[in-house]
Amino acid sequence: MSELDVGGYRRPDNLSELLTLLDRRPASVLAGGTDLVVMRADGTVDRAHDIVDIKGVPDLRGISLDADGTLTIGAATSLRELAKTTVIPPNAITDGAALVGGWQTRARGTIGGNICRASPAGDTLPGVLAADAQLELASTTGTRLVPGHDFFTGPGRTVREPDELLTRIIVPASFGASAYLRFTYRLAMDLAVVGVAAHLEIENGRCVAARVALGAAAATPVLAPDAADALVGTELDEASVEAAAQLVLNTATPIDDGRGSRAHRRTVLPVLAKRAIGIALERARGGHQR
Amino acid sequence: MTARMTLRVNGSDHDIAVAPDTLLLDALRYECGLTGAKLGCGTGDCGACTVTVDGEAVNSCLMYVLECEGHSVETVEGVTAGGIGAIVAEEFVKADAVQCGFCSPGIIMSTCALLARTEPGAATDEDIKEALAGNLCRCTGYLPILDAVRRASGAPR
Ligand SMILES: Cc1cc2nc3c(=O)[nH]c(=O)nc-3n(C[C@H](O)[C@H](O)[C@H](O)COP(=O)(O)OP(=O)(O)OC[C@H]3O[C@@H](n4cnc5c(N)ncnc54)[C@H](O)[C@@H]3O)c2cc1C
Ligand code: FES
Ligand code: FES
Repeated sequence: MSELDVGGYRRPDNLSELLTLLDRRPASVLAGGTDLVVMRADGTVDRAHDIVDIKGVPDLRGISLDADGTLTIGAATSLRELAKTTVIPPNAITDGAALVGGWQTRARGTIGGNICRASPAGDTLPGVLAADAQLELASTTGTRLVPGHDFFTGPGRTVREPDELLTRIIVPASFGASAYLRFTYRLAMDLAVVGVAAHLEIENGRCVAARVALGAAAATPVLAPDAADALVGTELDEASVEAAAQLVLNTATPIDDGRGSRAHRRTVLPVLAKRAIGIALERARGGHQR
Repeated sequence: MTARMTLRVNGSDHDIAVAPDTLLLDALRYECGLTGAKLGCGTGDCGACTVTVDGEAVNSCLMYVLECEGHSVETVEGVTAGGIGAIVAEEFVKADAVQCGFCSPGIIMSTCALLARTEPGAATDEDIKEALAGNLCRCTGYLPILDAVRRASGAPR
């Protein structure tokens, strides 16, 4: 695929060319377009910006597992590929990918787009936090790694600079397992009222590390440290899980909006947390380990 | 700013004039004269504009036509001209799965993409629901639609 140059739409075929284009003029990164096309049409994103289509750069796609267990996901990997991957067992990130929109949305939409859109309800975001993933940002001046939990600064806002491209999502090796669940009124094509991702690591029957992350429960996806701390050291029996799940409410600051009231969200969150922890536990015990 | 590009649709090349923001849906309807794909919501929610690009069901209201340069687009006019697509269309008629018909082209395209990735008779109800969840029918005739897809899935191809 060669660079298509139609005043305002560009599709470079290599990363350095792509980064130069982002550096040169105000430009919008186009991945799957499932958010961007609508945002340009309604004026949320300036239509005068060039469109830089990143799908022509092969390095930005694909899922790979290194010998040391580090998982790398190219930012332009489609949500469908992630949802159906066999490179890694089901986990909080792939659970989230499988829930986004409908088949058509997942065929085009990418994990990088989901992350950079930074919707508080974005379905892969709690998984990114729970997995302790690092986000690699590249520009013509260099590359930096930002921990997932430092990336989001508000609804639709991130630490990414306009000339930076999210290139890879890097998930450190762990012997843990994870899961993501969300609450919606319709099973598909509906945004999360709230969502919870849980990551657990177990040694000799005891939880040695845990992370719990919440979606649509604050202005950004957030880690719920009190819930995670309450799991560590327990045998993850029903009572400990139940008690820990309640503690997500220490972190959750949900709002009232068309999708649900603050009170309803606070009622649903601990129940979802308990279930998500339960699935992560089943996966951890089932030998689904990485 | 407009430019010319070649759009490959249903096996034919169309030399068309486009702008950076020209949607695939609009190019199909207004430049290629293919009105099978419909504009319902324009935001990816209804699936009435579904076509396939390289065999994958996508919303043509969420894609710029320039993204299709070098790729192959298929619309309801193409797939129903013969083969499994013609069988799908026939099963939709037989099952009374078409009421006003506005959603039908999109649903037929999602169905054809599903059947292209499954063996004859192998698509489960879960697979069908997953494939069609992004297609809304305002006339709400979902059970006949499910029935039509089940029958078409069993057809030899
Ligand atoms: C019908 C419908 C249903 C949906 N349902 C859900 C849902 O259930 N859950 C959910 O989370 N989302 C949902 N979405 C939103 C959307 O599909 C996802 O956010 C998707 O992951 C976006 O990915 P994309 O590749 O299409 O992003 P794009 O639209 O291409 O881009 C989104 C934003 O991120 C920027 N961007 C993209 N990639 C990069 C990159 N690599 N580096 C820097 N910036 C980048 C773009 O410039 C743009 O600002 C839905 C959308 C639709 C249309
Ligand atoms: S018109 Fe494209 S999904 Fe509704
Ligand atoms: S038949 Fe009328 S919208 Fe489906």
